Formats: sequence, C-alpha cells, structure tokens
Amino acid sequence: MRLMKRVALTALTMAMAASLFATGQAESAAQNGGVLLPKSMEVQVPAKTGGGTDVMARTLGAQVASDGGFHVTIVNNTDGGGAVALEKVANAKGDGSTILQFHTTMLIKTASGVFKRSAANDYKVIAVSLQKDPASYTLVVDMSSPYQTVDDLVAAAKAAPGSLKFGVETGGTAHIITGLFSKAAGIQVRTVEAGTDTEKMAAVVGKTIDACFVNPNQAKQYVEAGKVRALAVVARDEEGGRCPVFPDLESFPELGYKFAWGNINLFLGPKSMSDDLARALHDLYANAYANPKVSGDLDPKGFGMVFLSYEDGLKRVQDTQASLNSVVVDLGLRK
Amino acid sequence: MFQVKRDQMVGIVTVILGIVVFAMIRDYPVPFTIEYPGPKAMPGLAAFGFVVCGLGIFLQSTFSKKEQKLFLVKEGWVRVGIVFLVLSAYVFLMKYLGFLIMTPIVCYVLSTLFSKGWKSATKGRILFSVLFTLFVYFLYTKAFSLPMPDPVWM
Amino acid sequence: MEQYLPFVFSNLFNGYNLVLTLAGTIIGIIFGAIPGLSGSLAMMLFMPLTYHMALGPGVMFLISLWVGGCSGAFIGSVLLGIPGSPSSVATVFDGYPMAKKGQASHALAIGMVASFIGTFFSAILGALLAQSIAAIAFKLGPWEYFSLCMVAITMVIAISKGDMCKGLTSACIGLLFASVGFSPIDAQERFVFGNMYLMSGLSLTVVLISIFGISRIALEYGRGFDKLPDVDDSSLKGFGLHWLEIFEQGVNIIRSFLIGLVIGFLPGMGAGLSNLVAYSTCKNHSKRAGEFGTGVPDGIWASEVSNNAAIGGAMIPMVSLGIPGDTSTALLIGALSIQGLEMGPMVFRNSGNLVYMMFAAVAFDAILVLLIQMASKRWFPYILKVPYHYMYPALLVISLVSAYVESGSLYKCGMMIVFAIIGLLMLFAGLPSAPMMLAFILGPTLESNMLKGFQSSDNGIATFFTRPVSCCFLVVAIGCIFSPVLRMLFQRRREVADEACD
Repeated sequence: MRLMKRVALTALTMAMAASLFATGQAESAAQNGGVLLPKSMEVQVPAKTGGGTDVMARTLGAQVASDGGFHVTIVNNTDGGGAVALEKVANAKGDGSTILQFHTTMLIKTASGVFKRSAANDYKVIAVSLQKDPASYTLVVDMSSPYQTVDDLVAAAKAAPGSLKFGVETGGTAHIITGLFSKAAGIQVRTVEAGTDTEKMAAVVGKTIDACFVNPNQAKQYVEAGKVRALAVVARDEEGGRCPVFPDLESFPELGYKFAWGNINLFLGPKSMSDDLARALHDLYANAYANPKVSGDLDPKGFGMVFLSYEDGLKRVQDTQASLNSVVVDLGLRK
Repeated sequence: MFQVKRDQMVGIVTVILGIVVFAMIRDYPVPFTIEYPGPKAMPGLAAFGFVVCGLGIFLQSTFSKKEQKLFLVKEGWVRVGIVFLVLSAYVFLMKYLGFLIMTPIVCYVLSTLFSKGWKSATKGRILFSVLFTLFVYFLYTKAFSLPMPDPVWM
Repeated sequence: MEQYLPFVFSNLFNGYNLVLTLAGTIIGIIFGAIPGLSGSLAMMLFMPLTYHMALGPGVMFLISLWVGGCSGAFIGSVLLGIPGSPSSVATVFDGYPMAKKGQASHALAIGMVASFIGTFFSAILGALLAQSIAAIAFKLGPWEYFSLCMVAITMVIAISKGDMCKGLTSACIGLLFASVGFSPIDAQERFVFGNMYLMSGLSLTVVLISIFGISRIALEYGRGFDKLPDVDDSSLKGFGLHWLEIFEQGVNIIRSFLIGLVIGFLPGMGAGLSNLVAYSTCKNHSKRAGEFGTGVPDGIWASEVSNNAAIGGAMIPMVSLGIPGDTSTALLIGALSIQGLEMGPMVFRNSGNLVYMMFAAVAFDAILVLLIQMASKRWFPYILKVPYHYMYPALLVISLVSAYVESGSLYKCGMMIVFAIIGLLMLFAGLPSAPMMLAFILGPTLESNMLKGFQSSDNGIATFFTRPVSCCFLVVAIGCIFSPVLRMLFQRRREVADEACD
C-alpha cells in the first residue's frame, strides 16, 4: 500500500513539474515584429488523419511551431462534416490560439448552403495557398468505350442530351468540375453519385457510369493497366497547363474548352483577430512552406502549394466564392 | 379491471413513433418517387416498419395468454434512475471542473452505491477512485496523447 | 512471388521492425480490448509518427496496430460484456454468458485461436488470390451492394425466432439511427434539430458502448448484482483447447471464414458486419439454436473467425484496386499514399515486394498476437474477480471517456447517456439488440447504394431485379423475411400429413 502511495505521489509530483515547465515555456511566448504571438495554437482541421489536408497541416504546423517558438496542435475534427470545427474557430478568441485549416470544400459547402458560415465574411483570412501543379483533375472513360477524345464524348453528349452518366461525389469538387465542363462544352450530362475517386474508376470499368473526373495520381495505375483512358486534364488557369503525372495529356483550354479549376487551401482565424496578428501568422505559414525541408517533403506527395500575399488572399476567397455560388445554382445544388 | 400489458404498451408506443417519424419527414423537399426514392426513403421505411410491427406486437400481446415476467421492481427503477442521475451530473460538472476532479468523486459515489450488500472499506474505495483516475488520466494523455476534459480555469 | 521472399523476410525480421511490430501489436490488443477504443483509432493516433518513418517499418507498424486491434476486441466482449469494437458485437452474445458461467478461460481460448485462424489464413489466401479475384469488384454495382445489405439485415432478423415483429422493430430503430444527419446524395438534414454534433450522424462508438455497456450495468444494478463468477483454470495451458474441439468446429470455422473473407472483400462492409452475419448463419445451421445466447462456444468461433477473416478479405480490393474495404484499410491507403505508394491495378507490377510484405506482415502479426495472448491469457480472467463496486464504476467512466476521446467534446458523453436510456427502454420492451446494431452499421451503405442504384439505372427499380446477382440476393432476402411463416406452414403440413397417416 505504502509503495502504491509513493508511486502515486511521484506521479503527481512529476505531473505538476511537467505542467509548471509547460507554463514557464508558454510565458516566454515569442514576439514577431512587435506582434504578440499566441502561447500555443490549436489548428482545427476538418479532415481525417492520414489525408492530404492532415499531412499538410502537420508538416506546416511543425515548422510554424519551430519558427514561431510556440506550441502547435493539430486537431482533426470531422464532426458535422466540418461544421463543428467552423463554429469552434468562429467563436474562439482572436488571439491566434485557435485557427482553421480547410480547403475548397468549405467554399463549395458554403455556396450550396450546407455551411451557414462563409470564409470571406465570417472569418479573418490569414492565408490562402493555391495548388502548385498547373493541372489537377483528369477526365477518364472506360478503355473499351468508343470515346477516344474529348470531342467524341462531347459529340455523344450532344447527340443524346442528358444521357451520358458522369460519376461524382455529390456536392464535391468533381461535381463542380463536371458542371464547369458541361457549361464550357455546351452539353447536358447526367451526374450520378459514385463515391470516391477509386470507386468512380471501378464504376467506369464496370460500365455503371460513362466518365468521371478523378485525381491524376489515382488514375495513373488504371491508365497504365489499360483499364481506363484519360482524355484531358483540368488546368489551374484558363491559359491551360499540363499535369506532371500525364505530361503528354492536353488540358481543356488547349482543346478549346475554356474552363479552369484549382484547389485552394484556406487558413482562417476568428473575425476578431487583428490584421497585424493575421499578417504575422501568414508570414509564418508562407515562410514555413518556403523552407526547403517542408516543400521538399510536401511537393513529391503532390501537396505543393503557392502562397498568395496577405492582401491577395481575401480577394481570392471572395472571387472563388462568388464564382462557386453561381456554379452551384446552375447545378441545382443550392438549398 | 382492464390492465394494459407491457407488450401492448410497447406496440402502441412503436406505432406512435412511426407516425411521428412520418410527420417529421413529410416536409423534405426532395419527393419520394418510384424513379428516385430520395432522403425520405430510409426513415420512411423505418416509420412504416414501426407502424406495422407496432400493430403486430400489440395484437400478438392482446391474443397471447402468456404472462410477462416483471422487468424491474420499483426500487430497481429508483436505483437505475440514480445511476443515470450520477452519470449526468458527472458529464455536466466535468465541463467546469475537468476530468481529474470529477472522476474520483464519481468513482467514489458509484462505488459506494454499488457496494451495498458487499464487503468493502471506505478507505479502499477512496484509494481505488484516486488511483483509477490517475491511471486513466496518464494512460490516455501521456501514453496515447488523447485529450481529457480540463477544468475551466486551465 | 518467390522473387520477393528475400525482401519480405529481411523486412519482417529486421530488429528495428520487429520492435515496432511488437509494440504495435501490444498497443493494438490494448486498444482492441478497451471498450470504445479500437485498432483503427490506434492507427489514427499513431499514424503521424509514421510520416517520418521509412515505408517498410511504417507500414508494418500500422498493420500491427490494425491486426492487434481486431484480434484483441474479443477480450472486452468476453470479460466485460461490452464489445471492444463493432467487430466483436456477436462475441458478446455467447462469450459473456460463458464467462458468467465460470468458463472465461475457455471462451478466451476460443477467441484467441479463432482470431488466429481468421487472420492468418485470410492473409495467405488474400496474397494468393488478390490479383485474380479483385476484378470481381468491377462487376458489382450499387444494386448488388444494396441487395447484399438487405440479405444481411433480414438474415439477422430471421434469427430473432418467434418474435419477428420485435426483430423488425429493432432493425427499424437501427435504420432510424442511421438516418440522423445529412442524407447521402441530397444532403437533406434529418433529425438534426439544429444541432451541429448530429450533422454527421450518430457515432457508432456512442451507440455501441451506451447500449451494450451503460444500460446493461445500470440494469444489473437495478436488479441487484449476481455473485461473482468462478474462473476456470482448465484452459490455461498452451492454446487452452483440445485439437478435437477445433476439428469439431471444422464446418463452422470454414463457413465463418468464407463469410468473413467475402464480406471483408466488399467495400464498405468489414468485420463489423461479418461477425453478425456469421453468427446468424451459425445459429441457423445449429442443432442447438435454442441455446444460443446462453454461452454456446459455436457462437464465439463464428464471430471471431469471421471478423478476423475480414482482414485478409479487405486487403484484396485495397491493394489491387485502391478501394478500402473498411475504415482501417482506408487509413492504410492514406498512409501509403503519403509515403508515395499508390494502391491500384499496377501495384503488383510496380511494388510487388511491398504488397507481399504487407500480406506477410499480417500473417506474421497473427502469430505474434497468438503468442502474446497465450502468454498473458492466464491473467485476463481474473478481471472477473474484481468486485462489481470497483469494476462497474471503472467501466462506466471508461465508457464515457471513450465518447469524449472521439471528438474532444463532452456533448457526445451526454449523447451516450441518452442512448443508454434508449438501450434500457429497448431491454424493457424486449427488443433484441443485434438487428438494431446491424441495421445501424449497414444503414448508410444500404441507403447510399439504394439511391446510387436508382440514380444510375435506366429502368428504375427494375434494374435491382434484372441484374442476376442482385436479383438472387433479393430473393434470398425475401425468403429470410418469410422464413418463419414458411417454416410454420411446412410444419403444419407435416403435422397434417402425420395425422392423416395415423
């Protein structure tokens, strides 16, 4: 009994010592250009552990912590499909102790009315980064299908409006891209729910659907194995651009279909956060990515990014939100 | 005097539940059609099942001559109610006082309640409550890096 | 395949990897055994550690957490009566009564050997068959998945013999629970009441632990605790089982193994489903069907062989198509892609060595788990000797903490209490828990595939019947629903015939 008591006491003493040490460290929170940085920062990430967003958040977060001299904790919070994380950050103190890292999905969900809060209006936009690859998504069809080119597919869609089945994750990025493509090509297609990228490809091969937009990294092996045919890639900018996975594949603008899509990452704080603090955090994140150790880690995984300046960030969010709002209405996704 | 059997009551409540679910899904904008059943289909199926099975349970019980075993005596219900009250208070107060303060208290209270009729010393229960709390706290926070509720002042 | 053996063995028996695997397996077993924690939660928690590991050790560590978690879950089911994870729900039905009857060591020995058989042989079969059978997944559309879900649900309802209405009511409660949150495809808010915690639906951990754990403990207290069970010491040496006992279960083991393998193979349906289906099938085929639920070893064999066989099954579409069979394989695919290894049809050609190493790691872990459990199993049953006034407060706290751990919010703890009250009301009403659990687990897959099926078909509902595989499943499902009526009719006809003969 006495031994147990001693163990318990030792454990308590250790815990107290540890907490005192932690407090001492926190008290020495760093100053950055005269701005008081947080003692510790919790990054709410509405994505599962192991996904792309999580990896980006952790890799960047570790560097921000080491450069900024404060603790950074990544919290994967997928409750309510992200709604809980959004609320938490919106209601947090503006001292930088809680921020949000999310991506284009937030803008889409706001546009479709699933999220009540908007990135541009309800938060302080700390930083915005764009995908580095000039092209992201690729259009694939079954290998045995008659569609050899995008034009073949468009001609078939024009011949029988609304009959070609495009697999999407309803309200997801591929859904929006399908909408943009249909508009640019002047066709009507039938969008059907087909799940994740690999599920979509299995559905294409199984002929449950006719075509779908998927991530080139996911499509690569199906293309190499001769199961699906990649027809074109979706460029980030309307001038067109190639994707490193399929360098020979033309992008839609090059083929005469003028539409573009690029994923963006959002770093948001509560509305009450001061501009100075937001700018300081922006610089920390941008510099963290600029560190060769971080970019060298993220780039090969396809998570490379380009940080916009602090001033351009908000404008980009506003513009993207406005264009998504109209696409979502066209697709009938607005609630 | 006519006495309602337990299963008759279960049947009636199930039917009412079915009707309530039907009422709640009625206003969903996507309609239920034969081409596309939409979001009403699954809860609608459940509601339909409640109504049909509820009637089935009611009728079965009405025509059955079998006696149903007593589920719990009155004191039993009181005891169950106390457990739920203690647990609710635990969750509510943990928000303010945190895991490390509330858990030993609740462990002690529950352990005292559960020890009625069994041999147990107060000292032992106190020791158990404190040690168990510390064990769980350190296992979860230190070994597994899982968060535990902190008091409001932390 | 032989050319990969040197690579596989050099990785498996590398000192650093061995230490990682051993640590992962032990952590996995602990996570599996504690109610509310699971192998996939362990994978989520420890995954960031692997971001900076090399591919080989990283993958081996994650696999050991997964296998350990899946193989440790029966410990909680047998000793505490609370399933360690959804994969061991059916183990509770007969495992806990066995422990209560003083046969805990025997029940644990069965769980241990059954888990080993399921994991080890499914990994071997998976490695041999992955390339040849993966393409079957292409042939299955949403119609087939929907129909299969229907078969699974109706099969479990069919075993609530005598009280079909209560079985169906319980399944409807499961469907209602599964409806909470945003609906698939149309994103319709259902039963959310403006509460954002309900938007993504009800948590499986919350429902499972509250119904099997909290409400049962509260009820036991209400009724007054039984005396503490005895602990048997007949099964403490070696495997704890006689070879003859294993051979006697041959048919049950093979049948449950195949059920686990096939269900594991089907995306979205993993060990959480296979254990209940295998248990129901075993009960339906058993001469002692009436005794199930009172501590029949066959039930543990069925549940534990099938949930572990789902591991090998889930790995087939994971490696060959990049499609996850369950949460754990989804996490593994994520971890591998971070390391630059994309799963898919070319993975055997591009990185065959790593793929076979993964299968070998699963088989190796199965052996490791068996050894660890053999060494430690003599201590487990003594948990049953802990007096109720220490055991149950501890279990109640751990149950509530598991809800907090899931989201870092006390809201879910409150939700757990609400569901415990619902569980108690279900017990009061005499509604069986298995159909509810199964319908709740399968609900989302069932609904999304039903809606996908309607959306993608050109002939509406007819497609569900014009596709041969889907049609066969639906016929079986309808047969299951009407099986008690048919059985009654047959019985009456036989009685009439017998009377006529007399």
